[in-house]
Amino acid sequence: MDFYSHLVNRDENQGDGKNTAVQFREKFLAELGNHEWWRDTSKKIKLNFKDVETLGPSWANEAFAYFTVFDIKPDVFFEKVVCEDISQVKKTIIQIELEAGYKK
Amino acid sequence: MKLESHKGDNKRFRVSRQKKLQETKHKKSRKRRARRGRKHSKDNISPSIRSVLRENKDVWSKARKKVFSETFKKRSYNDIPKVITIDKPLGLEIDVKAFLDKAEEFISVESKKFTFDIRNCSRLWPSGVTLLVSMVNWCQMTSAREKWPKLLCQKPNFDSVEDYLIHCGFYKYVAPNYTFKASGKYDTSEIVKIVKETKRENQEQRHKEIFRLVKRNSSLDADGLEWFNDVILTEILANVSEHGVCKSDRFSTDYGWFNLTQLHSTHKIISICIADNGMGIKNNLVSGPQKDEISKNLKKNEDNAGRFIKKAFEANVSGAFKASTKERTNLVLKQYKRGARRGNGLKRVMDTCKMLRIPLTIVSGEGAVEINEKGVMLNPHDRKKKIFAGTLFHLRIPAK
Repeated sequence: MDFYSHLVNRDENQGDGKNTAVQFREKFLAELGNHEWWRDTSKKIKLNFKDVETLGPSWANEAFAYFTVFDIKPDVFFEKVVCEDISQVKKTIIQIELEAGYKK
Repeated sequence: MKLESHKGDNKRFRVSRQKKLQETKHKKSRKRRARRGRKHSKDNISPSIRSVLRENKDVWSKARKKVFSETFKKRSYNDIPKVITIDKPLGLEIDVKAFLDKAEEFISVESKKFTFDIRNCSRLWPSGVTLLVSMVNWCQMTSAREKWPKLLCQKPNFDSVEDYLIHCGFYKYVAPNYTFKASGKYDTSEIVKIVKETKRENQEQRHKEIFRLVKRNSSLDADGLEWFNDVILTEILANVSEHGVCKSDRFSTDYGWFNLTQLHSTHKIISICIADNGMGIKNNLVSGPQKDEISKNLKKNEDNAGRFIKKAFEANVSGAFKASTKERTNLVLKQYKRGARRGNGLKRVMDTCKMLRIPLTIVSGEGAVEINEKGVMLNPHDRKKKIFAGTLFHLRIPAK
C-alpha cells in the first residue's frame, strides 16, 4: 500500500492529523495542479482503492474536489483520474464531493 | 577624548536608571495582583483553557478567542448543596423531551456539592450516562483544580442499574476513588465503554471498535454498513475530535470527547453516543469566518441555539476557523469559489441517516434537533439554559 487504509482526515487539524488528504494530494497528485495537465487528453492517473477500508467525505473533498478549482466537471475528473478496485459506495462519495466542489 | 567618555557615562547612567524604574513598576504591579489573590491578570479561565488559547493564538480570530474564553470562564460555585432527582428512565433513546427537560434542570447549577439521586431510577440509558459524565467534566473545566465541585451519586435501588453503571464505566468518572466490581451480567462484546478521549492517536482505534460492534449486530446490509462507516461515523468523529480533543497532554483531564456505544438486544437498537465538551455549535458559528453571513438571519443574543444547530446542517455552513466564505463576483452576487470546501459534513451525515433510516439527535449548548428515521428534521428545541455542555450526537441504529 502506498498510502493508508483509513482515509478520514482532511488536514492536520482533524482526527490524529495523520495520512491527511492534503498530504496525499501533495505527494501523489502534484502533477494535476495545473490547467495543462487537465487539457492534455493523453495524460491520466490510476488510483487503486483495493486496501482502502474507510473513505470519508472530508478526505475525498480535500483530495479530489480540490481540483474543481480548474473548472473540472466530475465526469471529466473520472476520465482522467481512473479509480480501480473501488466500491460503488466509495465512488459515489467521491462523486458527491466533486459535484459539491464544482458548484459555486 | 575625555568629553566622549563623559558622554558615554551619562548614557549608561540613563539606561540603568530607566531599567530600575521599570523594575519598580513591575514589582508594584505584581504585588497588587498578589493582593487580589490572582496569579494571572485579566481573564478568569483555568490554565488548561488558557493553554488551548495559546496554542491557537495564530489561527483563531479575536471573536473566536472571546467566545471561547467566555464559554469556559470559571464559575463561582456556591455552598448550597443541590440534589437532582432522576426517578424515571432517562435517555434520548426513549423520550427526547424528558431528557432535555431533566438536563436543563441541572447542567448550569453552580453548587459545590451536587448529588444525583438515582435511587428510584429504573433505567439510565447510554445517552443519560453520557450526559452525567460530560457534566462532571464540564464542572472540572470551569473551576480551579483545588476547587472542583463534588459530584456524588446515590446508589441505585435497582441492581440492574447499578450493574450497568459499573459495567459501562460511569463510576470511573463520577466516583474515581472507588473500586466497583462488575457482576458479569452484561456482555462486554455488546458495549464500547464510556471513554473520554484526550489523545488524538486513539481516534482510529475507537472508530474501528464502534464499527465492529455495529457490523456484528446491526440489521444494515453490506452497502449500508459501508455508508455508515465511511460517512456517518467518520464525519461525526471528525467533528467531535476537531472541536473537543485535547491538544496538550499536560492538561488531559480537561478537554476531550466521549463515546459510549451499547447494543440493546431486547429493544433491537444500537445506541451510539458521541459527544465533545467544546464550545457548542452555536458558539462555533457565531465566531467563525461565516459569522456575518449567518448573523443576517440568526442573532447570537437570542434563545435560538436549536435553530443554529438546524443551520449547521445546511450545505457549506461551517464554524471551523478555516471555513470558506462567499466572494463577491459582481455588484449583486456572492458565490463560493470552486474547489475543496468545508461545511458539508453534517449535511452528509443527515442525508446518509435518511437513506439508512437511522434517527439522529443532536444536543448542543442550549439547543437540540431531532431527525427522525424518515430524515425529517423536527422543530428545533431552543432552551434558555444549557442542556448539554458541548455537543452530543446520538444515533439509534436498527439491530438484528
